[in-house]
Amino acid sequence: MTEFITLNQLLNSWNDFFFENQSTLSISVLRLLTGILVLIETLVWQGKNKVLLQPKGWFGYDDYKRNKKDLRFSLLNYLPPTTASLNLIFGIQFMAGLCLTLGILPNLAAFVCFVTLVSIHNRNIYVLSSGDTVYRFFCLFLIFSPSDAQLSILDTKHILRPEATGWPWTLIMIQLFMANIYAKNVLFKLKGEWWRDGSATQKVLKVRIWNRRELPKALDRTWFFKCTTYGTLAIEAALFSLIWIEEFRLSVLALGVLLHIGLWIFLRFGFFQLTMIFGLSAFITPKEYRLFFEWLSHF
Amino acid sequence: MDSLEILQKIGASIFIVLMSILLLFWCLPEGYFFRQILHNYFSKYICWAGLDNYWALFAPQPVSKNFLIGFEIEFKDGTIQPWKLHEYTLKNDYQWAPHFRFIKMHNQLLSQKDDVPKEAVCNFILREYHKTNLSSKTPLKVHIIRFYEPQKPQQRAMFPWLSQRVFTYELSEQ
Repeated sequence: MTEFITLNQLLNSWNDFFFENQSTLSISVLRLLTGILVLIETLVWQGKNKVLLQPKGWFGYDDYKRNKKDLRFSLLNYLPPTTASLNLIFGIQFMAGLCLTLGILPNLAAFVCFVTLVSIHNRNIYVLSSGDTVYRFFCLFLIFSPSDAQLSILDTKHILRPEATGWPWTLIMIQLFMANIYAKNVLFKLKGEWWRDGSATQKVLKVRIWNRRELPKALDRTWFFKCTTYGTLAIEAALFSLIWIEEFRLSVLALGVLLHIGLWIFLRFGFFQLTMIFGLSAFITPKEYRLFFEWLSHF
Repeated sequence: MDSLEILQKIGASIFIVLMSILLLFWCLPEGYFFRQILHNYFSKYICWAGLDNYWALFAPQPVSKNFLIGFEIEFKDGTIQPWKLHEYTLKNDYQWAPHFRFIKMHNQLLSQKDDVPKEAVCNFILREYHKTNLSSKTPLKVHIIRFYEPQKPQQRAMFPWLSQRVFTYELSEQ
């Protein structure tokens, strides 16, 4: 006879899945990596890119005020329209990024990073990449990460504490978030004729502004474009499906990292690749991290 | 379980459900029922909070053509002055930008879509012009020019790049 699930069983499953205490090591590593992303990007904005945000820059304050100010939240909406205000936001973001990396009040630091990132990103939405969205969401999820954190500079004697546990739901949300990115990418790609006929990478690799260098003659071959087009689709499909199966998890992760390194080598959007590689670290278990840190301690 | 823990779990569960709905349905191809609901009724709040997310990298159709960008300032006396943004420099036969954010802007300026970034960059060019040119000429319009490669090889042999004005920003009469 068929056995039906009861509401109580359903609630218990939900509770076990999202709220059964687990080691906080994986989420702590992701917190540290997200902090590094925040620091890198804060510094990168200080160079030539700043002209894209300045009040008299490419998307000047008057144009922003006329078209976007009422539609998008930004701390800059409440500050005088000067470069000093922009620098203030970047200064706060840098401090928060440092705290996030070092594990000093990490939940508060993640909240501050999320607010400053939204403020900067919403100020000029026309120059954002998917990488910006990825680490903005990481900060959002990390606001709710377990407070019993590891890898904190405040407790140098106990950087790794196997007894530190917490609810895993923030880590699960980040894993689902990552899987969703790959699922949507495959969905949209399969709608495109060039992805289906195997010629998509041939088109992309000939657009010079996006490419780091001209494609070597030896690789300018149909077989190469077919392999890279269908290979991308296959790896991205595995990254939202097979990654959940323990027997495939590590090999799929390795393929994912290779895919992003490959894209990094050819195309000029390295920051996105870095955020995705860091994001994939959410699928590494605390046990694997402990083995890695033990191996690292030999050096 | 104490009542605080129950409250925390209820709060976290609501967050999980709402976030899952957002992530699953916000970024879907047009026409999906739940996507339409989110975009029609909640986009104002989602975009305001910076929670909008798009995951269609080089999809459905990836970028496939090379373009160069140029600008012209047209004056009241009918003369035209070409203008260059230093961030877009020519390197061999293509345009190079120092960072992907400028490439993003390159795409925005040449796309058929939103006029807002085009107007903003035209205003930036005018500010730069007034900073460096103290002549009595009065700018009237700023044009964005797209240079594109002709499709046929014979045409390409004659003219490697053809050009077309893709946007004109007209200054209001003072």
